[in-house]
Amino acid sequence: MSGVSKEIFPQGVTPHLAAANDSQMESGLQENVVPRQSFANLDRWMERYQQADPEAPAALVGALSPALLRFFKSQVASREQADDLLQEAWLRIHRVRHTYRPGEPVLPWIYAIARRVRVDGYRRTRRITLHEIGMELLPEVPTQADARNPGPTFDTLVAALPQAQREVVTMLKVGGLTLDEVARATSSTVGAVKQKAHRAYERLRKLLQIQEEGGAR
Amino acid sequence: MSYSMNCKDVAKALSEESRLPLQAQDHVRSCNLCRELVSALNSSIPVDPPSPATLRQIAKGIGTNLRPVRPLAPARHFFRAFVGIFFSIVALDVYRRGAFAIAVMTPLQTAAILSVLAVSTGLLTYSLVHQMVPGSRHRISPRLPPVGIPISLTIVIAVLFQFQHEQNFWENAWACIRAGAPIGALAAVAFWLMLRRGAILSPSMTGAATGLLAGLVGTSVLEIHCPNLDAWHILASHLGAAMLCALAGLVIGLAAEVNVYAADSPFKREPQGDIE
Repeated sequence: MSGVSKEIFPQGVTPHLAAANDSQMESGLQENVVPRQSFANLDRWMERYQQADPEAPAALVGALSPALLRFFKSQVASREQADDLLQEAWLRIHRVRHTYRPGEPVLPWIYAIARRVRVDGYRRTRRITLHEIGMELLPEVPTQADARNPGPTFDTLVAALPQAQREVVTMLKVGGLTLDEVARATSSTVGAVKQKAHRAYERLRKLLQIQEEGGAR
Repeated sequence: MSYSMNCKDVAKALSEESRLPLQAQDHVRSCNLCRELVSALNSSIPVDPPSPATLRQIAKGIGTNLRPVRPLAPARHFFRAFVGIFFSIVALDVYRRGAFAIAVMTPLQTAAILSVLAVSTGLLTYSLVHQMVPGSRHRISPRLPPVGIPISLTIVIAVLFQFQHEQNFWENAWACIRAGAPIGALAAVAFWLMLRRGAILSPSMTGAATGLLAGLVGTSVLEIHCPNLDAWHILASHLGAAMLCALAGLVIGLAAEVNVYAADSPFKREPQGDIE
């Protein structure tokens, strides 16, 4: 933390809060985001994939799988489900690779398919389990939370959001997609994405407030 | 003059910009809740990356027997093709049946109803063309046209034409539906031939939109051909034919969707991506 921040957030004033540092605020929450440099040349790899270049599948799988797994992990409960969805997503991507138009951004195309896979996976699971877990209240802070950061973590926080809002926040903050890319990935408009994100942050702030008031009592 | 932000402004700023403006940063520094929100959204939870073995397995799975595929044609080509199919079927059918309605409608009625049908066709075609490619930019939500167009057409018909009490209402309506629905079915087959390589994301939504577009082919033919200007008749049979087609498209799309997610593990199925 910079010296200025130390003055503003002296030790002991807000000991229970995780302090957002200056760079986090300036960047608008970028620490979770997968660096965009890691997605460089994706469009070229996609074109080579369509042309059956044998190196392309490994390059694309290596570059995109961590972000996709993180996306699925934030949408479903278990790591096993997320792994299954990741494999299913790649199979779906392979089947419909002809629908990618060279020159178009790759990330919205990938996330649109991943989103569909997640919806199909959810429906399939629901058919099997026939029960749902209520997520209306903010879940307990998990024990694996960072020792420096005893407040709620990203995953526990967004778990309290409705599915559509969680999806948008995850794509924005974890996937590192722009508003336009999220709009493309969700077959929506930029205005609708902004609205969902705004409602999500409002809801999260209220939930944090409730939690804090509960903790104070 | 300085403008101080409150918590709502910060939430708005977070949803609009990737970098928080200075005023928002000032507020975050002074507000525990906003600071906690920013920090929590920014916190990183270690998620084990996929194992190299898993990645190798996936890459090997999709790389086996990899064959080149031809990307979808540009959107404008599909747009022209859809519009071409639409107007070709309308023109051929009107030529065969005769344009009797044009003779009895006022110029205002003719211009208004045909304009609304043309705009509806354009909107639906635009939406469908963009639904073909995942991750396309939608200036209008794809959910809007299948709902908004029937409502708009209902309002326009109710405003343009008079409600009368005609005899043999159901016989006349049934005759028009029997004429309009098969035209819609024919158009739907042609549209499906165009759509079958894409539109993989939401079969139910695409089905409803395709059905409605195909149904509007029948509606357009009936609007030009049928001289019955009773608003009830036009709503029940001319627009009804389009609604029937949209419903059929929705049902087929839903069936396709259920077929996808109810299937066993996808890894048990044969990959079908190698089209060319």
